[in-house]
Amino acid sequence: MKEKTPPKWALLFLRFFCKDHYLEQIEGDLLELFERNRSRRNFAWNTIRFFRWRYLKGLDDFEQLTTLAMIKNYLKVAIRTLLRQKSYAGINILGLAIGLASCLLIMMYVFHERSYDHFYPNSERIYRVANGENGRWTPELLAETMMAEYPQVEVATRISGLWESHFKIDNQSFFQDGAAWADANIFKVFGMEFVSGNPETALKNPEDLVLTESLAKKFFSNESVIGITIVVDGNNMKVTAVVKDPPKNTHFPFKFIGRVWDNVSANQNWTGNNFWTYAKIQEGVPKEEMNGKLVNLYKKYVGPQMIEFSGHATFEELMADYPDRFYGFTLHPLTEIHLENPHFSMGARGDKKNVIVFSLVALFILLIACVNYINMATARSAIRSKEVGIRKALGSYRKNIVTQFLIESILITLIAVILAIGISAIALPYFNQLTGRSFEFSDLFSFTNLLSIAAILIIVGLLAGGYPAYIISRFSPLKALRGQMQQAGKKSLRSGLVAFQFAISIFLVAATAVIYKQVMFMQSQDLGINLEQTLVINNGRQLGEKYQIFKNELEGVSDVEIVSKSSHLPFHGSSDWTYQVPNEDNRRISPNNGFASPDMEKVLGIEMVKGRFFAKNRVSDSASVVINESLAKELGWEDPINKELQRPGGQTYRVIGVMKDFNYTSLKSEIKPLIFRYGPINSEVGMFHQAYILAKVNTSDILATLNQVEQKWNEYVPDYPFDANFLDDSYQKQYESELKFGQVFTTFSLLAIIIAFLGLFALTTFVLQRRFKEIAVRKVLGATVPSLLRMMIQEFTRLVIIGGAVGIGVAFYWLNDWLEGYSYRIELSWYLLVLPIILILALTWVVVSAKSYRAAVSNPANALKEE
Amino acid sequence: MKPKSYQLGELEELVLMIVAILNEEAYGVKVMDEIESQINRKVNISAVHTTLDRLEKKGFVSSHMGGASAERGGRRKRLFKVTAEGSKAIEFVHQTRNSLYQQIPKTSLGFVQ
Repeated sequence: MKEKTPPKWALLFLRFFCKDHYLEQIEGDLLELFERNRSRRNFAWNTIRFFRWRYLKGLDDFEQLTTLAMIKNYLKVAIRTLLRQKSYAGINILGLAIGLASCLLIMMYVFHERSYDHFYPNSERIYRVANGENGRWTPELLAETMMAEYPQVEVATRISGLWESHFKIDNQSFFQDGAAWADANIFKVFGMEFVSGNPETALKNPEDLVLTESLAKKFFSNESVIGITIVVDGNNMKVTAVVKDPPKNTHFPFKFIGRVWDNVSANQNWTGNNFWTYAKIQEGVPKEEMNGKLVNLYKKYVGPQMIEFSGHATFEELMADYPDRFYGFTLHPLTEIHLENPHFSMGARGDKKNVIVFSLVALFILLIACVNYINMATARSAIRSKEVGIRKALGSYRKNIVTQFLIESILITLIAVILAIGISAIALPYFNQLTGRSFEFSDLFSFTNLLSIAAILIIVGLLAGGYPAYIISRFSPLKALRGQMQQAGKKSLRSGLVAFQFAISIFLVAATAVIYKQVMFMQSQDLGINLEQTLVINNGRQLGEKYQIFKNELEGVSDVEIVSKSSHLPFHGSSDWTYQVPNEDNRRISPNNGFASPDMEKVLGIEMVKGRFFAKNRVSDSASVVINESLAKELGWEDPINKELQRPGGQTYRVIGVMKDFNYTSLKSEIKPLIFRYGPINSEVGMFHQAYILAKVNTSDILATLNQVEQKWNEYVPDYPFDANFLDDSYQKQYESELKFGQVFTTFSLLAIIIAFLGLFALTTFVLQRRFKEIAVRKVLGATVPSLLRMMIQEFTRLVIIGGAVGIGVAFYWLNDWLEGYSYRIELSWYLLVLPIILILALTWVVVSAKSYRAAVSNPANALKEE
Repeated sequence: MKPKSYQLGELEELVLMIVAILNEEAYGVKVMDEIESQINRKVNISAVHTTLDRLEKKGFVSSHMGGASAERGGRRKRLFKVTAEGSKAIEFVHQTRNSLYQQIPKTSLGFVQ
């Protein structure tokens, strides 16, 4: 029989954790007990029972004792120093914390923006297929043809979305957004995770419907949803599967997927572009290779159909005629959609400019906070000179002193980081409003964020602590102990850093002023039309033929003045239609095309320059058009009335009037040529011309009027919900991104200024302390209080002006660039750039003189009696 | 002057007395055995060690490393003895228990039996 020995691992474990002091006696007792019954299990159990706090090895069992003791001492001294100088430490830590908090939030935002669509399995192989170079809409047949022609395409799908659908469940009727219509390959392309149901069969039939988990829970709480029938847009659809919700950082935030319709496949139509196309490419196939293949595909399928329209003999001739167009399809990586190609997004759109500006602002604020720390730490280093002297006399190397002050700065940064996390948590709701994202408290502690917090801690600690540590460790012990003042770093460097802070502050203030001025300028522009008190009722086509009665009824409501309908809304974009001029060689133009009804002239307050707008009950007006001044100018017509325009291969229209230019798209761009056609009698566009009902109201009680209008709607369209908004609201919405940009700048420039002035405040205090005696002597010799204040102010004024010159220079360059992006823009006037300097200068004077006043008026005897 | 009060846990009190009984021969396993044989109570060896350590920190026992033996794989024992403070503590415990016992009316004890 094998001799039984105690389990080795248990002994090793004991030796691993147990303090040396206890080890021998414990081992002895354990072995003695083992000798009695030779039970290995008992031995192990007894060993584990010794795993108690009192026997565990502590830090002092591992480290060299002296190093550890020194670190303990450094921390103790650091904490005592902080407690002794509460206001200085408070300002320093608060400034740093505010800087770190903004930095943290912005980093979280930047990481979030960069993480879009990376979560899809094999996301690096998934591409969005663009029409041409980056057209959004692609032909219906593209996805399946790509798969059939090229084995490199693993799978491809076409999607139409995201739309709003009308749902009817039991007796409830409502709109549900997030509707995607796609073929079954969508699950293979995106690798979606199924909660229930089968990806192979989920979208087999036209009535199949796939819900996300959250939507299924919302509708049917805990029931099994498979097989339930829902009426979607009037069709009975059956739930076949439930998939996991896409995460927040996706460009495709669908809520349900229905089977896409096949209406034009039979015609092999390649010129109607109605779908998004996505493709997953085989591993190792470069996208450039695929792009080359797609050019061939374009030539093979789209080319022949294009020349049917254009009348060219061959596709090559067509290409030669319009050489600046790109004929092909282009792959764009899925993960780049959010920032590089936001126009592809079906959900939140990223903005690369925002991400860059945010990052820069975060860096600025952090720099200001670091500069503060460096300034204050070096300035106050004189106070620590005796301590350093003693340490050196007792045998400290310079290395040790540096370590000490670095540990101190890391400790301060650590306290600031903890405070910063608290500040970010409080500021989170406001930050969400600012960025239009929905971060939660837990997002602050995501892995990447924690990692960046750790990185910031070390970088800021070393960056901000490095220079002061270098200066302080240079102190000569002899001078220090004799009580001589030592040069606390170069004054020019400190001044430079303060000037740098002023430069950043002034840059941010100038940028804020200009951005706001620009937004206000755009909002106050005369649009040429009147948007006020105009109610927009969506889904006008649901009224169908009943429009005329509805309009008459609505105009009978006391607060409603006049009602009209329209195919488009101002500022919501409209489509370009091609027309040709039959009398001038079929010259082609592509103006924005809209459909109007006679009353639109009054509803929107359109002014006519020449001729007239459409008239009621004039049948001939269905062959008439109204154009705007820009179009008249483009056509070069002095008198456009009665000239003719023709749809290629279609009807001819007579111009009956010219409208004064009004802004139909956005003030970010020039006024574009516009053509209005008369809606009602035209059958070419179906109910398209009555997409929106516009009602001019005159009311102070908006809610009551809305209620009345809704009642009328429900009378005529009982099974479709009422959906309305005011035109000026939607007009304001288009400046949301500028407004937010402005808010971001205001917020962060305010923070930057607060931090900079906290630093200025502390620095002034310090300078006064050092010059305490000097001021007293000057006073004794006859200096007046104002002259003393002037002396103090002078030094900082110089720094503001130097910093201001740099800040304004950069601001001018950058803002000019930014304004280039707007067709309607303000001029950069001198006062917009000088005002920030004056503002900062005034603030500086207030802070410095408030702080200096006490020293200037105090009795010089107090300062001079000692020594 | 108010006499000093000694605060001892139940197991501490027991172990302290055993150490006194064993008279300079007390170490972990021996104390454990003694508790088992005297009052028929099983205690884990780690609990005995912890209690001894605690008593030593409180100053009621002192210790030194004793001789090694073969059955212990050559490891030495830590031998404990009661200090003067420890003796006072035992005395105090004994006194207070006794005085409390004396005050119990005979009737109530009889009632329990």
